[in-house]
Amino acid sequence: MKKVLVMGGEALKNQAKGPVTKHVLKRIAENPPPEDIRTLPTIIEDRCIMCGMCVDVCPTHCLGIEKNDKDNGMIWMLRPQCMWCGNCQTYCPKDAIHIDVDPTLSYSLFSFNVRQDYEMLTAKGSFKGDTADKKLQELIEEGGKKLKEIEEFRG
Amino acid sequence: MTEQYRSRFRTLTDGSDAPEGADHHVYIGPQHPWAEEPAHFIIHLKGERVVEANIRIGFNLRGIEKAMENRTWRQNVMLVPRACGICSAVHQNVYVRVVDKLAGVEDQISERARLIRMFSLEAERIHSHILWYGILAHDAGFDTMLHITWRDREIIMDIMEEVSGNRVNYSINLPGGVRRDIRPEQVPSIRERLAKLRKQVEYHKKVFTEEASIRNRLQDVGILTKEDAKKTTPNGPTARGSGLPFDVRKTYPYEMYDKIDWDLVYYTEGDVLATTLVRVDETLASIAIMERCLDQLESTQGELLIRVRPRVPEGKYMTRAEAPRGEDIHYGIANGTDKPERYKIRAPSLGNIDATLRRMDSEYIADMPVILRSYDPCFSCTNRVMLINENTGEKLILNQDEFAQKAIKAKKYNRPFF
Repeated sequence: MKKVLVMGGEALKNQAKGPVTKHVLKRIAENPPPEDIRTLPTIIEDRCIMCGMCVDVCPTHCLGIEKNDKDNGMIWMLRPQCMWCGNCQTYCPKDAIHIDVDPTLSYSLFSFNVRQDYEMLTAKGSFKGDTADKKLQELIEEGGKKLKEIEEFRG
Repeated sequence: MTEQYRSRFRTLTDGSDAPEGADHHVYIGPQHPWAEEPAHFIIHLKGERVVEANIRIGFNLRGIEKAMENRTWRQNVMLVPRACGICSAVHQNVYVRVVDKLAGVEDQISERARLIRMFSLEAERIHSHILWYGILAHDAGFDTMLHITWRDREIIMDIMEEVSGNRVNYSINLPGGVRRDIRPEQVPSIRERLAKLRKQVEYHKKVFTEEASIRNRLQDVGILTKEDAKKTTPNGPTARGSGLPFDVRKTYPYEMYDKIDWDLVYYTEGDVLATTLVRVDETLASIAIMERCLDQLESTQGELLIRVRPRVPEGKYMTRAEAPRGEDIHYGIANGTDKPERYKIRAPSLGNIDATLRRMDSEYIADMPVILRSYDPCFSCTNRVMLINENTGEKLILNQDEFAQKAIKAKKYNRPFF
């Protein structure tokens, strides 16, 4: 049953349709990503009890924690290292981690500053304010040192 | 096996151990426009016909097994699917079943969770098969088919993006159940799109069986007879195209495959067209399984995720599953802590290499791209080796920063890396 031009219908259809790429921006605007898409996590501060479960289960070690007790502590994240797996959300005992469609979706992928791009996810109690800012500054400086070493190595 | 066995896996690539009668040697890879992943094929020719084809693998060693020993069982759930780019859900499913068995909770997992796991596995089979026969058409010089298949593949990827939150790495299996539910309000739209996909795949089948330009390229090319297949032990669609009706889903059923009616597809011709049609027909069968899963989900209730303790008790367990490419085997050893003692993955591509090299014997060199593609090569999930210093027996486990520091020192003092 060998035939020629089995795909003739497809060709005719495409001729009638015209270029697809013409309306691509419009089509993207009409079809936003689904609600449940997995992206970067955020922490709801009121619910967080500083148990450190999210830090333990994170496969890429992109989360860090420092705490005194359940009301005093902070959790930070190295954004480009996160691979959007959502493990932290699954294992959080208090449902405190929220994953939503982020307007800066591509930010973490195309950021070249992969060692300094820290973000303070939550800071509670005595850690709020100065302590958190100081810690963030430290982390960023440490990342800068590593970057310098690598640049030296590359020459 | 009566005849003398000559291994086709080579370490030397200069053609010095070529078979008698070969007058030309063609080297394909490690980096080659044909291949997405690195592998080195050495093809010995007499005139235009292949005398023997050999292979050298091992260019992309990522150390996933070693990395798993440094992470907890819970973290590894997200590392295991990265063993392969395309068949990620099946790796995760096998891993999850190993952990369930070791933790002793495999009987408590509800039917609903098992059905959702099956749903994700079949969705993955569909998108992997459609991807593969698109690339096959591209290798055969029929690019129109590549664009059409990949356009239709978007349908299944959109469905799974809504269900799991990601297009390729679904990560929906977890020890003790599944991460997310398929909500009743999602089901009608999924059914609608599956019906549309079935129509498209039937059209793909029509093109592969009737269109002369692609059929002439694939028919009677690279024939693997049933006797040869029994000797070289391929698995998955490669075996089913040669008349060996072996499928792990039927022979050693896991999840709910023994409770659901589905058809095993196999062809007896053994050429590249037969392996292609096996995959096209399996895509149709997978769509039917997904629809039956949705039917059963309506009436099945149960807990989605039961608690599994982070510390897994001592023990060892081996299990397997039918990946899109063949048989995927995992073997895990737990030592009572929250980290695995040893974890071994045997990815399906390794089992199909010998059979594919047998296929090439006495074929034309111009048919190589199609035959090489016929077993869906995926070497990055096959190569997995730990780094050991031969003289001292020292094992190296480095993270990114340590690796950079070691490299800096080696350059500074002008000494070898190890």
